[in-house]
Amino acid sequence: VNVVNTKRRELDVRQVSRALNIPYNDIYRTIRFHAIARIPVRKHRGRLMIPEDALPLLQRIHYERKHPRIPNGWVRLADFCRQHNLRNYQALRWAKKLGIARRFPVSNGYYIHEDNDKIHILLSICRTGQPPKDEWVLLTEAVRSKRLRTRVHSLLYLVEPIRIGKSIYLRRDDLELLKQTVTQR
Amino acid sequence: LETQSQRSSPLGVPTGKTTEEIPFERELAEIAVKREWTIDELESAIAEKLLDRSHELPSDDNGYWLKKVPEQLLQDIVSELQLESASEVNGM
Repeated sequence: VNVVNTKRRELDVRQVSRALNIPYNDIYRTIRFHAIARIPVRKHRGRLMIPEDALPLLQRIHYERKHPRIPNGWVRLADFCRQHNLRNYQALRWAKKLGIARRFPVSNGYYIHEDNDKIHILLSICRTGQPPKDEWVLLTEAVRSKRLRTRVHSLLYLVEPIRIGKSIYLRRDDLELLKQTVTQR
Repeated sequence: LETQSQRSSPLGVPTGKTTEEIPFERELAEIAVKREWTIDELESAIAEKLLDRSHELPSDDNGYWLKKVPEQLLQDIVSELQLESASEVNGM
């Protein structure tokens, strides 16, 4: 009687590292954080065991992790900040607020949409603490009348203001529109 | 001589007028050393964890932003970063 051995051969992380010629820590990270949901990894006596026949898939997952497919125009936060000499935290905070930061599946960390129209606003805020002066105005400076300002304030939901601390900045065009709306009422 | 109030925290962040420490400052400094992160990279890693939990990032107005993160939340993030550091350094 032929007994078919259905038990798959398994390798631990060290053996996988040697078999794929990938540094231990690097492949461990792929297995632990990226491959675990896609290949049947099991823990045996404190070690992660990977079926030998899953190695080609694991190699592909590792490659995807190291070379994530990112759409054109998106750049890693760290690279963006290095390029523009910005503080990572500040750039991420404002990029998120402006809707031009996101994570991609299988990628590490956040990406900034460099091709976006709002990138000059991000750069300006990070460098000067305010949006570009040629396009944006400070509400308290642009509308001196407290009464008019209060009325404009009540219509801010109609436009997209930028709030930096307690300061409210509006696009010049938007402010004109709001002033017109207020006076027509 | 530099006074206590002028001194920077071990994370390299000015602590301002008070001598109040950033919660989990030592743990965060250890993580940064293990991962060979600069202060900027450490801040960014914490910020990304906050965003992953759908929390808005606090501003730096009126004090260092890290102090404004709720302590329990920061503790969770520190634990997660410690776990990641341990697995990166020790393997399993």
